Amino acid sequence: MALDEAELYACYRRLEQPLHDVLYRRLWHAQDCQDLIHDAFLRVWDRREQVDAARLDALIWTTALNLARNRLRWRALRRRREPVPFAEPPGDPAEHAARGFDERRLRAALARLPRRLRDVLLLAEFGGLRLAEIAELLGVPTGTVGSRRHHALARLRTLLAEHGDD
Amino acid sequence: MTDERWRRRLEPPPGGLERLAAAIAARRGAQPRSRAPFALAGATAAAAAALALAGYLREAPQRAFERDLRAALAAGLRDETRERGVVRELPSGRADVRILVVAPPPSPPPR
Repeated sequence: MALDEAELYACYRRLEQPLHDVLYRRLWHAQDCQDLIHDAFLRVWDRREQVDAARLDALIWTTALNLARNRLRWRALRRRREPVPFAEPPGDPAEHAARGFDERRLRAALARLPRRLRDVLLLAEFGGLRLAEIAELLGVPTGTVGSRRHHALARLRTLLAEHGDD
Repeated sequence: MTDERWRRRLEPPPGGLERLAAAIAARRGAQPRSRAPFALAGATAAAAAALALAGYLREAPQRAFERDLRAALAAGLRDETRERGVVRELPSGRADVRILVVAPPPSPPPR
């Protein structure tokens, strides 16, 4: 029943990449994402006596998504409406410029998606979660998740095309 | 923009797992949050309530005796032998001493 350290670390290795991919498309700040993932795992660890290891992944996802929502609310309250600067990794500046351009377009397009569509899209396309897993996380039927994913993808492609393809 | 471009995987900042391990190591001495304190408080409250109830029940005959005695005194028994309810006054050789017997009322004779 209780969670042990090895299980938590294995979960971290398993989920760090998909969590980062999803959270980055919400927070648009790599270090904020790592902080949030760190906090989510620590919160779960603090309740390890009540954690069922079989449901650990779902619990981490739920905790991390809740923390992300809180972070976004906090940002809104602080009126940090200006875009958070992208943290560019070292490397080829031309490649980073192209990536930065793509990110700005994706960010603008995601911002125009309704939240219910955006959440499903992020979890499916960046989190790699199955429809049933997303349904459990969001508390909606699996069929609804499938429908939302379909509409979200179509809408996102339209929005990205509106910004001009290259 | 192609799907491959916007679906691009991002590399998380390095050192996340080491940071988590260090934070957990720092907490290793701390006890995990558990429900034990709440369970202990609940058990203590239940035990206190049970003891109070037992005490109340144990003293019930004494309270009944005192109630009957007060009722008999309030009724002002003056005769040497007089029965009122379950309290019966017996003759006393001294004017300043009254002897009251508290007993259950006699049961009706069996048919």
